[in-house]
Amino acid sequence: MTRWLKISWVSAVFTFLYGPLLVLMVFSFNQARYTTSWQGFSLKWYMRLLDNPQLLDAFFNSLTVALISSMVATALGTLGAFAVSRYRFAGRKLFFGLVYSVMMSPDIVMGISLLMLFVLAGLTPGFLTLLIAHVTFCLPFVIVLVHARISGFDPAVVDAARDLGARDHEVFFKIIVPMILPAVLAGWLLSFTLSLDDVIISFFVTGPGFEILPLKIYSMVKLGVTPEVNALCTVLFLLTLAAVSAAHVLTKEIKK
Amino acid sequence: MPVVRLQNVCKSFNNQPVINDLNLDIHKGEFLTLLGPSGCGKTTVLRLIAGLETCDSGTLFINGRDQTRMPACDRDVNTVFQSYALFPHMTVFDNIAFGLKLKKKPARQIRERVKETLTLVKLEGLETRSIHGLSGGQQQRVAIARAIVNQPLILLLDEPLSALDLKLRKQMRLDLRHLHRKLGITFVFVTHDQEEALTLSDRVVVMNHGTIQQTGTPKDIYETPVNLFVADFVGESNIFDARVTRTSGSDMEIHFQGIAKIVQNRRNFKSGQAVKMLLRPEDMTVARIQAQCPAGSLPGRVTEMIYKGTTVDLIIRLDSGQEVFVTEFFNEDDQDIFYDVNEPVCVSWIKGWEVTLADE
Repeated sequence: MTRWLKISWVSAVFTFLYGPLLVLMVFSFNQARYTTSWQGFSLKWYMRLLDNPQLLDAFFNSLTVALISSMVATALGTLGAFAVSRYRFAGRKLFFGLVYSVMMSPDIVMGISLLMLFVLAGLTPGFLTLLIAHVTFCLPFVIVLVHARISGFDPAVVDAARDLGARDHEVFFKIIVPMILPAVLAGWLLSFTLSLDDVIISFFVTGPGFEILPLKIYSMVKLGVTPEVNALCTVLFLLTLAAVSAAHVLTKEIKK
Repeated sequence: MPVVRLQNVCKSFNNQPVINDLNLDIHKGEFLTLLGPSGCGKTTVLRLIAGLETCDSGTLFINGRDQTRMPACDRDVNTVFQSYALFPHMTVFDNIAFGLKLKKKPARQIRERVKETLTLVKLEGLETRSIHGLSGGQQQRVAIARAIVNQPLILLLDEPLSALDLKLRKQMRLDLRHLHRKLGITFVFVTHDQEEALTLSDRVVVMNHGTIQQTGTPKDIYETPVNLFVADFVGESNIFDARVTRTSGSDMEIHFQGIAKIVQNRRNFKSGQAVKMLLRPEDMTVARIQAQCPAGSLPGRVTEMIYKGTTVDLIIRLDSGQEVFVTEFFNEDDQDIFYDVNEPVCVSWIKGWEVTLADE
């Protein structure tokens, strides 16, 4: 009896969490256009995606922004993490506090404030503004992850490497880089997914000339949820899932 | 020629002097210990020799050559760090091979040398293990292996045993001695543990406030400390205020605790001079009081008796009020070393076992 209770409880939890996703994925393979009843398996909506140049454009725009912004955020964030963990300077604690506050602040607030900033700076909303915005909201995650890694290791290992004959570049490439690499990669993948599926901030800071996938889906949904949207969402979900799992594996590595 | 010579070396951190005009010669092949309380500058001396810090002024010679400005990576010196500082992303083999790989030794030679060294530190067959799976004692041995595999001129050890439990620490002390004998290289060992210093070293350098207080064999340091700091830091001492009342040849008469006693005058004290007299707990003897204490011994009462297995420690309050600490050994002839609390006793010692120092 309790066993059945346990099983049904767990199924309820999983249904609650993953049911909607599963429905979406299943219906992306449905034959029918306007119905929620199953009419047979088909890959045509996926084929349809490939025939839609606008969608493909948005997809590649999204990928471009995600790739560049995640790389820039990773580079800057790693340097920032080093600054916070290796040097003692005035305002260090404040800096770290601000990093968390960026991480916690509501997307809508970030979006509007970034938009105001760009307008004041005289920048036309488009690729550049979108890129800057994405770097901004990805940066704290990289800093926090890499910082955790750096503070986790014994600073004496650098002394030990020098003592054993390593020159500065050898210390960097043979000791520091391999030790922080899992955190850097995890930060990068996390930034990539954050950038790829952001809607709210992007909505404010991009212009009509530069459309990205989440916003495109958002506008398509206004006309009704089509199987095409289902297919697109499935692709996007799988892409994010892959990146998040990779980041998870790497973060586990960090904790070792 | 000493293998290391520090000449008028000074070092400060944030304008706080840590090493003051230090002069020290370290001889080839010796086991030298830098002993002192924390913050006395002993680790800084080690880091200066390693090249991990640079001298503010003064000169550092290694093997006769001025290497004051030579970077750590070019010095023929290796260090075992207090925290071990093993590379967490490498296996045991890669940790130990790190130095040899940087020197671009052929792979076969590296494999052989790592294997030999692992045998030397009793870790045969652990090459492929990750650092995380090792116990504290094993990590310690890997740290030692990583340093000695490079066959350095000098091995520096920065409180390497402080993180181990007592039993392991005692085992490692013996192992370090064997290793030192087998390798024949110079060991410079830093510790704040006087027992470690005494049992391990050929020579001990006692430091305080960035200056050397005394240099000598463990026996010298323990039996003839040159000042109160050394006497107090190394081992336990009972310290008495005394005044010289008369001198004659190598002897002198001193007044202390209300009695007069003839002791040796090794430092040419003059009559009337105030001195401190030091007695080690094990150098004093306790006797049951008969009618009265014989001349030259101190009356008192037992306030505490601590049974320690091989010894009995007694705390005795002298009639003057001062407390002294006496250690009595069990011996065949005199089974009777148990005293009752508050029992009146006489405390004395054999002339010449005391150490007298100028009152600073």
